[in-house]
Amino acid sequence: MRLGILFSGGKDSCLALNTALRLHDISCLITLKSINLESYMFHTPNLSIVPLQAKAMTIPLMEVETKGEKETELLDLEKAIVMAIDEYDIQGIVTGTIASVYQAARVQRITNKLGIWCYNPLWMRAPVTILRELLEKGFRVMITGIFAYPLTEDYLGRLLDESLLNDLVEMELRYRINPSGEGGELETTVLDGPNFHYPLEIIESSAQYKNYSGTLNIINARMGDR
Amino acid sequence: MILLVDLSGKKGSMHTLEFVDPVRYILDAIPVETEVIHFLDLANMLGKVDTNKTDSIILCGTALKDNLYQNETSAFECLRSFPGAILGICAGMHVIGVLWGGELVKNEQIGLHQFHLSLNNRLIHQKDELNAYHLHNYMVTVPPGFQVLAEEHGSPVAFKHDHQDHYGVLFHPEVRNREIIQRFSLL
Repeated sequence: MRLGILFSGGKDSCLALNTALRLHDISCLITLKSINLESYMFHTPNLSIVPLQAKAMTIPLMEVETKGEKETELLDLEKAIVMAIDEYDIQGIVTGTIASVYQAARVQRITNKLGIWCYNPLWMRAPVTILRELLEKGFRVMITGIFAYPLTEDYLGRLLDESLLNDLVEMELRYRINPSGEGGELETTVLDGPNFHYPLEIIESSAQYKNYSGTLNIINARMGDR
Repeated sequence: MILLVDLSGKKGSMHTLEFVDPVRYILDAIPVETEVIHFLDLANMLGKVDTNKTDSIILCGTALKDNLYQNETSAFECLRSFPGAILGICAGMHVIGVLWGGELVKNEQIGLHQFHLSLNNRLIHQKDELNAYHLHNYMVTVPPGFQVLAEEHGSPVAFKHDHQDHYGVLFHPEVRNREIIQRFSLL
């Protein structure tokens, strides 16, 4: 089946893509670029790297801008999916939603209205199993956003490895942080993985941080050599 | 052992990850032994008298667009003689309802909805979170010999057979009402 994936460039959409590719063709990545950084629906940090990710995976990208306002952003999402149906003849959508009923229900309503399939292959998975699978499959996942205590500035730019995974598991036990960032505690950007033909290298970035909240903004990146 | 029946139209579909595995995660955590089979293999599985260790059955839900199970009612006939407990989730509730004489009715509900308890029972308790995740285009009327356990605006969202531990819930308890699955495993 030809599918499109709602793609943010973070770990969840990359793992959902990897899972979907076992059984289906992914005809396009669909990225909603939200002007509102507080969007309820869409990941916002470092979307500027998504075209490079698409190129590294040789999958066409459809980018659609949205104001990111509650509910009207859903009309933008619907328009983007309709465009993907028209342009790539997709029969369904894949998402990397893990536990957000808010996001899942809204995408389900749109796909149901349009009469296409909706797949959420990570639905209800334990966060740690997702991080473990990303590690085992060789994804290079960087923390590019932190938004909760006790995540300090030194977590920005850290790559997912056993040590980071253990830190996040400990934070879950002590501070009820969701290790996968489902509660908005952290955002990630994927720089390499099993579906990347070339790894991405960050050439220039800048960090902003204050009081357990910060982002690592990727200013310039390129495709490296394998 | 609890048999988890996959109602996806295709064996090995990606919907299994979304509708069967979340139920399995809850049972694994208890821990309760489970086995997953596709609904088209159900009769064959239950017919294996020597090797079948099935104590109870959960018929899992499937995707909004996935309605093949509605055309394969003969695949579920074997449930009539199953002596153990059965829980039908969403599409699984449709199967139980139709098998015992109910009818499918168009009814789209997607998202969280409040319901109220109509009858005290062993699966859903009054003190529970009575807010549940729905994902369906159909509901099923209450078949003869079943009683309504919970309703939403007069529509049944949970029912039970009068004499057997055969339950149906229209919502997905694996999302916000996990205790229902945990209690079912103890029946």
